[in-house]
Amino acid sequence: MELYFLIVLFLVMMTALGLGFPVAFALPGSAILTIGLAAGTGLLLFGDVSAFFAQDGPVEWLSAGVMNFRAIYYDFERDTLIAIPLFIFMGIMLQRSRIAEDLLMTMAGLFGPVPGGLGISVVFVGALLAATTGIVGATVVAMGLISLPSMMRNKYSPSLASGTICAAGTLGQIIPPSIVLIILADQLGSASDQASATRQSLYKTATGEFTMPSALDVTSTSAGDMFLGAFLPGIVLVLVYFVYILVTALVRPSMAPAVPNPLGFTKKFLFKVLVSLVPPLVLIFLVLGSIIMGIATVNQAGAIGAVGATIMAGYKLYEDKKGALFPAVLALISIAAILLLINFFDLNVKNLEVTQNHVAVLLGVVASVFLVIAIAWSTWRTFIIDDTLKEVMIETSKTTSMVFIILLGAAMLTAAFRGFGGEEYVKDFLQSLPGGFWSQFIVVMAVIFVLGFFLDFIEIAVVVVPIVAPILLADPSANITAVWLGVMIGVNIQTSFLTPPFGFALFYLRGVASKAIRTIDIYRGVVPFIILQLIALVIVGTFPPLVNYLPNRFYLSSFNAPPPMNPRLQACVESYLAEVIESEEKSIDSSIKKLDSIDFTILPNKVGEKILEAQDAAYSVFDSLEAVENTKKLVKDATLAYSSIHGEVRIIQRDIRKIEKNIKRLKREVQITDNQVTKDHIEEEIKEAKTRIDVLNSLIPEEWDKIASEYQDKLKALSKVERRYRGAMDDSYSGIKEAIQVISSGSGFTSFKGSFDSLKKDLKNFDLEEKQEAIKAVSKQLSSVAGSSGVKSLLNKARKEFKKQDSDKAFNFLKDAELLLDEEIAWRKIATRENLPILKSFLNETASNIGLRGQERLPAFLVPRISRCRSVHQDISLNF
Amino acid sequence: MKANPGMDLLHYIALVSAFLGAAFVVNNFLTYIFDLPGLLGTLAFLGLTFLQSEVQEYTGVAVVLGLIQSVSFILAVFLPFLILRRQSGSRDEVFLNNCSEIIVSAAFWSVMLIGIVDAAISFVRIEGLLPVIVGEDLALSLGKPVFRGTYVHIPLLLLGTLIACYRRGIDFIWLALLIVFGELLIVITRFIFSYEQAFMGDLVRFWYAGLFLFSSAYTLVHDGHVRVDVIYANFSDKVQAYTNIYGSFLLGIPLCWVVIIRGCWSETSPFNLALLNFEVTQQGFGMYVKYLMSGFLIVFALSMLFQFSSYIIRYMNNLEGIKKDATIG
Repeated sequence: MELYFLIVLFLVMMTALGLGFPVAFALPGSAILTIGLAAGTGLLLFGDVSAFFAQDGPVEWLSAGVMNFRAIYYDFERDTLIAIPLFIFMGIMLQRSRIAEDLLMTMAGLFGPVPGGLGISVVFVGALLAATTGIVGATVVAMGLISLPSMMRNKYSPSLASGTICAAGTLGQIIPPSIVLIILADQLGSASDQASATRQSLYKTATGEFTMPSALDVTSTSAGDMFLGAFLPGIVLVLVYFVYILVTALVRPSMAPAVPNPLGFTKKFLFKVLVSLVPPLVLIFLVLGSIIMGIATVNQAGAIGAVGATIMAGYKLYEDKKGALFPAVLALISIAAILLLINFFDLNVKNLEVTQNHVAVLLGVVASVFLVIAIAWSTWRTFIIDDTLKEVMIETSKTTSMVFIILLGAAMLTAAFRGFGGEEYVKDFLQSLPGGFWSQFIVVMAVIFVLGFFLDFIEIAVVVVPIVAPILLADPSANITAVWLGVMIGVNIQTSFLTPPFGFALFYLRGVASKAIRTIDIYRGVVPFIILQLIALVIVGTFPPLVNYLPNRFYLSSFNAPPPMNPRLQACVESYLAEVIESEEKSIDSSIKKLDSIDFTILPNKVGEKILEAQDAAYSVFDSLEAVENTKKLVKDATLAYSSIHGEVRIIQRDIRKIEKNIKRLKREVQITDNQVTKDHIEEEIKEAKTRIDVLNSLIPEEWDKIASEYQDKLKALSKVERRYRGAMDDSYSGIKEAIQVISSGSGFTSFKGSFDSLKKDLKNFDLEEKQEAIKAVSKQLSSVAGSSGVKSLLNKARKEFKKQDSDKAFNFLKDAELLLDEEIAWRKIATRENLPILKSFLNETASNIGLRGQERLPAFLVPRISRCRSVHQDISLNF
Repeated sequence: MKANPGMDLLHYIALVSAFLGAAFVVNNFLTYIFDLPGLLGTLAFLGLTFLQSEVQEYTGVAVVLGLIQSVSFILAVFLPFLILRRQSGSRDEVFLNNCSEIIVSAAFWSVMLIGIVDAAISFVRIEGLLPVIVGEDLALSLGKPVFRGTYVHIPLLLLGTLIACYRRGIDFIWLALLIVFGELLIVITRFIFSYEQAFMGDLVRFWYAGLFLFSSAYTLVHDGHVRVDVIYANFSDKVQAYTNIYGSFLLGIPLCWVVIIRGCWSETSPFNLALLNFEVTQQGFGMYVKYLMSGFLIVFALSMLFQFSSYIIRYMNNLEGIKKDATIG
């Protein structure tokens, strides 16, 4: 029954959007209208406002929508969205101060003489501009106004010119720092949380275990990840466009003639290049670089971009006046001074007590003050000249509001959609498609492609992604990453915007292009770009590492990278280990053998035993690895039989669960109704459902239980041997590490010896109370000294005797402690000389094989390999 | 000019909607802050208990004030009648637009002042300097959300409202610059002095939420909210006007009402819950302004309610202008 109102919702929304009421209010308005209609109809027909809702009622869903509104900004979890106004500010400032235009003109002058050079410049600048505003229409219009006339003047063919502009305007959508990527990241982030919950419950029903191993979890995303993921595909697209224009210019020079530089390559022109080309590029690279290198968050990079654009506008607007460059130069000098200071001193104000760098910090403050003055000065200039700042602020406010109110509106729409059970319908529909994940994926992409004819990127990101992304991400058979899904959606929408006759970009260009350009020229012009886009879509689709590699790479080499022992890295780390342990067996073996040359006579028993245990564990690594490999083979053999019926059975079981859920609902309904006729009717329905379950159950092959339990047993056996294998490696490495710590704590003992001696002297003058305190204070020193527990316990005993007022016994214990202390110091001296180097070389030699898991960080040489390994989507469906 | 009953009805509804919204929001706070009966309470007191099941006991003063509250609702319904009668045919969009501007401007000035003052207090407090500056007792009180809300935020709120009466307009656009500078502050202190505190992020978030919610009304007037204009662009002025009038009625105004009513229906509704209890973040030494961010949505809804009403009247004027042109032509 909810389905009717789902259709009503869709129709109302389509009408509201189609008639052209602002999207931001059409979305929530039609949701509210439909919820109201459903409530009214329910009240009228059944006397129950909730009758037409899948669960809960109209009031709950409206409240949920309102709560969703607030959730957009209420907590720090979604702070990445703050980057959006910052990037918008930057983009509009670049535009309003005509830096962008200047950039285009200079680039055209520079590359114009190359065949197709003007077209290449347009692609470059257009992509840059679109990235910061994120609105296809705005970019295409701006580019159409700036560059189309100059391309036509220089006798570019109308179709190539218009195609280039449309393509460049849409390309920016997936080039960082595009704001739609930030929105996608935000939406995909919550989608992956949902998908993760789905997988967890799937895991629970499949295995009966409550916690799912984190290796099987959904890979989420962040704005930084999205930027990194879109980076390579974006660059590839830009290059492909370049090549296309270049080749066209070479093959048919009349379509894209070389444009002579009007200024000529004089010194003056070169200076102009320096001033108008370098700063914007430096700014873009600074912004992107700081995000990509993990130095700054996306928001901070946005602020850097906005301020940088303001400084540039500060001199651009003052062009040809005296002292135009002054604030910019002041800013550069301050920044240089700050960088120097940071390089040579620790300016951390919280550690000021420790570092005592007062002068350096003061200089840092002075430099920052000058930087702030430079920024304020530039801002002042933008304020007084042509009202630039005011215009920029107005445009920023308007654009930001437009973006966010859509986000807000979509939150209500999603609530209504859920209220009418839309999610279940979409899920059922997608899962009923034959062909598994890929057919679902293609259908979703096709729907998005069609929607791209009517809706802008932001609307699709906030309306469609929350509905379909959780379903696609949860599917364990494809196990796609959220970043990859985001980039695929991005490239897809971008292609859609270019596609005649509905493509968005085409409309906007048509609006601003002169009548001399025929519509058919525009259509003809974009066709090659569409083909290039489709090729790119196929490439990105078939090679996920193109997207996943960079995020992984930067994640694994960042400050907060997980250690090699992290379960999420295990599959990749172990495939490397298996290889390396097998191929370097001999050298590893000899490393272990070298431990034989340790002189155990000089070591205390405990330490010696520890080393021997570690050595045994190290030897056992080879055997346990073999056991793992053998068991893996067994599992693989069993997989064949299992996987052939697994998918089929899981689908049947899913259907059964759905019917069971329905039965539960019907049973509840029976309890509420008083009407005997409806009661009988529902009872009948329940009976039918039960027979359907029986039929479904009979469809499950008889041997399923046996095969499944056999398979699960093999998996259990595998995880058992794997645990042994990992344990062997960990024990050997950590055992030796501990031994080294114990041996090399000699200096700790020697320094303690000093305190101990003075304690001995002082004790005579203290009363009992003070004696206890003094001992307590001294033994605290031992807490950081490895292997000192013996001495410590003797000291403790002495203290207790003092407490019992038995001074004789106490002094005996102290004497014992002194003897032990001397002993500890003595053997450590020899062992440090004789044994320590051997142990240390063992750690060094095994650090990249059996000791890898013991490392705190993934070694740099492994990062590329592990990143590559993690970038491939792996089918993990058999775990569910 | 001939009266147009259909249009007059729409005009009336638009006015009532805006006035009722304002009455509802103002009374909402009066009711819960000063424990007054409000409209429903007063009705219940008079024996009309169909909407509120339990009847509370009120003092005589409260009952009188409750009656005044109820009268404000009645006024909201009847005042538009008088306005329509007096204007007799001509329709005034400017008044409603000005109301919307004042609401937004008051919100902006309050948010700017409170942001700066509260961030300063938070900073001084984290560094342990607060007792030195204002003494132990006051420092302790300023650590309590209720105290800071009552004695710091509310005076600033009143000051902001006062400024707004003289400066309605588009001052709110400065929030765009303020968030740039707020985030710049984080960049400078973090990268140069390795100093970062929760209140800095809170400040930027506080202003950014204000930016997009407060500028929505202005964006609507200046047609900044994006439309799917594939068909719309080809409509005649008349059809465009109808789209905007009925769109505002059916889609825009209900949205505002849902936000206000679902957020402020009872004492336990989400916005009231946050506002009346001075909700703050759990992060310890952040700013104490989280509860105000719940109020942002009320500001948004109310300013949009007035703006939509003004918008409707504007397009009615357009329509009637078109007709007049047609008859003259």
